[in-house]
Amino acid sequence: MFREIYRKLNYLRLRAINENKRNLNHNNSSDTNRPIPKSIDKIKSSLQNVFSDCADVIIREFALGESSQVKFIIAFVEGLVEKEVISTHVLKSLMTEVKKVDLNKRITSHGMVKILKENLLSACEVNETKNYLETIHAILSGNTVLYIDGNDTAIIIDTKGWEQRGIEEPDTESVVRGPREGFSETLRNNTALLRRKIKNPNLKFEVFRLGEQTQTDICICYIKGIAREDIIDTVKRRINNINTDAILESGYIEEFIEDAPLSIFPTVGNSEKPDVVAAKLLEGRVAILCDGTPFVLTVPYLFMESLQASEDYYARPIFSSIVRLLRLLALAITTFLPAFYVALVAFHQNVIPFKLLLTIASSREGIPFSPFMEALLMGIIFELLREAGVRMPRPIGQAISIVGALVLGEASVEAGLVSDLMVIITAITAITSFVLPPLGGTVPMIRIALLIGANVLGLVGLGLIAVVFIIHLCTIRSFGVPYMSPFSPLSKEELKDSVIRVPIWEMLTRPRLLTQNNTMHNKYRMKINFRKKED
Amino acid sequence: MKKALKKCIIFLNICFLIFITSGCWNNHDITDVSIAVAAGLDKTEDDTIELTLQLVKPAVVRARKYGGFEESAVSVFSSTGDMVFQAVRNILSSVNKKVYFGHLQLIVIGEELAREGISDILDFFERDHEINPKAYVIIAKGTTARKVLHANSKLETIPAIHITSLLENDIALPKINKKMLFDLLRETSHKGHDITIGVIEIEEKDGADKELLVGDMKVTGTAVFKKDKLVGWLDPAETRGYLLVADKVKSGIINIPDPLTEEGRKIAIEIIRSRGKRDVLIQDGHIILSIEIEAIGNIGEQQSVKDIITIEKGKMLAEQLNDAIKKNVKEVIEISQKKFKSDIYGFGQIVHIKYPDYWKQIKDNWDYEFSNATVDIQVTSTIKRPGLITQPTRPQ
Repeated sequence: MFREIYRKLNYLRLRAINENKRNLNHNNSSDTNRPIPKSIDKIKSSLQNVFSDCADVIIREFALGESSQVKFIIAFVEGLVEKEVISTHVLKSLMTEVKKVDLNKRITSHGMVKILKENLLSACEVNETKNYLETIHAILSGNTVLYIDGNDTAIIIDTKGWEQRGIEEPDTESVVRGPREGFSETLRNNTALLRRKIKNPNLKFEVFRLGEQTQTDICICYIKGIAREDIIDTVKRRINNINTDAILESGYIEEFIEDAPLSIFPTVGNSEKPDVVAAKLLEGRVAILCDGTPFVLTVPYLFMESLQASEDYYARPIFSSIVRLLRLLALAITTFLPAFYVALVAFHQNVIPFKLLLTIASSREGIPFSPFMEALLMGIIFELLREAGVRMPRPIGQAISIVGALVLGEASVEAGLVSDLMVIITAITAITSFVLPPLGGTVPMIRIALLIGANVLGLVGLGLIAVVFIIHLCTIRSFGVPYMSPFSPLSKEELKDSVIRVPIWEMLTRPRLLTQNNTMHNKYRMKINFRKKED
Repeated sequence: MKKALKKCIIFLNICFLIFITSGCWNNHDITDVSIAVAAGLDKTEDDTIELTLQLVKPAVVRARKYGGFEESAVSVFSSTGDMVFQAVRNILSSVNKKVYFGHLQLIVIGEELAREGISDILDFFERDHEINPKAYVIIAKGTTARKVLHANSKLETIPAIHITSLLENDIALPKINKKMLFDLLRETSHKGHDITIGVIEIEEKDGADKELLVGDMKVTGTAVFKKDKLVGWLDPAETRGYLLVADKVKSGIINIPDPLTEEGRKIAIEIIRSRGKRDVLIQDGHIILSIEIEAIGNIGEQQSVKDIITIEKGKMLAEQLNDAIKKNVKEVIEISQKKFKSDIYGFGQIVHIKYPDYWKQIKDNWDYEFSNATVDIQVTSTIKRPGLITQPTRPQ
């Protein structure tokens, strides 16, 4: 059924794209390869035309050489550039160094650019272009463009520098042990953070530009020789196929490239921490960095990853294995507990020990709702509270917790609307759901589906719905890798880093499904590297 | 598009059905049933069956937990019917919610009814899907089940739980014959095995008007059945002998005379482990019932000051224990052979398994064969530990 909905949606999308294309063909006026006009006046008027009513764009005209023979224009966006760099490394060097060279109109255009690049401009990154649109993009990205009179080549000087957030500890993934740095909103900083973790020329960053309007920089990142080529190609192909107005966050990309767009399970992972992403790159995954967000996507994303945390690898193996088992238990509790309770109380009272039955019966005495309605009600109230807690500003957050704990918990029991056992069950469910942040959006849906199943057919219904979910989990794939691996298909070799984590010196091989297995040697590669270091 | 809409509507209907149908079939909330903890069965004067149910009042259970609430946590209702099931349904004329038997803890059968046979009434408890097969069955000796279930308890919020926990004391007191419904039905179905059920009787009380309490009753002793009819009783001491043979003693005290002093002083032996083995031998056409009992005990109490901690003296004690157990067992075997002619140990079953051909010849005559069989009792007991002291402390 989902497949059908997906097909319908796909059809609507393709139709819209076709219509769009037709419209585009009608007024196809923009040519991408427009040359830069030679005359400085033309350039100026053109720039003023393009950036009309753009108060943040600064266009400055000046002249150099004997009796100001050669005219120049520099253009940049205020706030995106470091003015210090422009004044010292562009303007000052041009105006003072110009005395050392003989700058006059007789110099050929090629020679002029050469002199400027090699002798006069002291900024570090300098490029030349003949494409007018490219210069516009450059200006908008925070570069400074130097146009030269009588010359069809412009010089792009990298002067990017804007107010940005520093490297802070991310709120979403806090750790007790491990690095505390997190990605920030600037793409370049983020790539630098990764490069600092993996000092290897095989770490590749490939840049794309997405979004008709936003022209956002996207960077896919992988380690050549470890990541599977076909996965890299798939990622590139899917990203190239994106045709959209805006990419404001990596979530936009995620939606376009994920394998199961209508499934409740995420097939693209994200992280805010460079060490997490670096570890995933080393396992052969591909990371997608997006300018303007600290969230970096990683593909392929497997179900097991939602139960893993970076700290598992920093803590001692026995401890982290126990924590993994705890997380698995938490997953079971947070999805099954309310449904299990409803199934027992409404269908299988025989199973409950007699003394517990008395407790349940006495706590449910006089409650007007059925256990199912109670569980549903409390579940919805909890989700509301959680959502309110996230959206509210911090000071109001306290008020919410008072309302939640006192009014809804205590008072509803006192008033006889909800049994106190249900409050406890909701609380346990909530606590256990906090253990698994990556599944935060998925778990409530599973919980409610199981709840409905349990209310209709008792434990049988619970089992049926659970089987439906397990079948679904086993069918989906993320970039060609089965979502449930290493459990389904079972790979004994890779169970070493699943429910338990074996010591790092025991993990001799990389994940088979994620990495290239081009040579036999590969299997023992990590071990060999390890020995070399000792020598 | 139209087709999709149709499918959507069907899907929504299915979703909606879930909410409508959720009240059906087996989905019954705990608050919509009244939980029966104990059921009592009696024969009325006009030959109908009277069913007495002890139903829990959960609200009172909760209130009593916090103390100070003296209202009884159960309410007792009775109804009559020609058969048990009819009585169960008839009770709905006075009980507001459907009775739930899934947690039935106790079935009390009145003496009068038991004398007429219990298999007819147990059929309902065997057949119904809801009944808890782990419920204990007990016979009300000299009284009615109705009276037993009307008794109140000062120790437990629910009187029936008081009675079941008394029955569970059998691990320390081998005079209690605890029997679950499941075991009872199993034993009934065995060939050549007569059943026994535990007993509850009301002890003499001082004031005539005093409220009847579970504490005034005792659960020691055994009701002996022949086929499904009650034929007589074993007293508590005899019950111990029976349980020793039936291999159901977990722990218990047996007093033996002190072999070192002549003044009738006693030593209490705490049996910590015992094993009863029954066998049947056929020699020259004679049936020999062989009973082997192995008992291991510790010294629990000693009245004399004599030092008994030597190997020889320990052996003497063991001899005494052997004699005591043998006497006990002989007594009870004789009663069952001569007085009741009821094979409560299941010797007939052993014959059936061991000598199937012979069993076919004698099965109709088994009662006679059993009561005239020779009995061979072997007891081996060991004394293990003397407790914390070796020599008793007495004024010197």
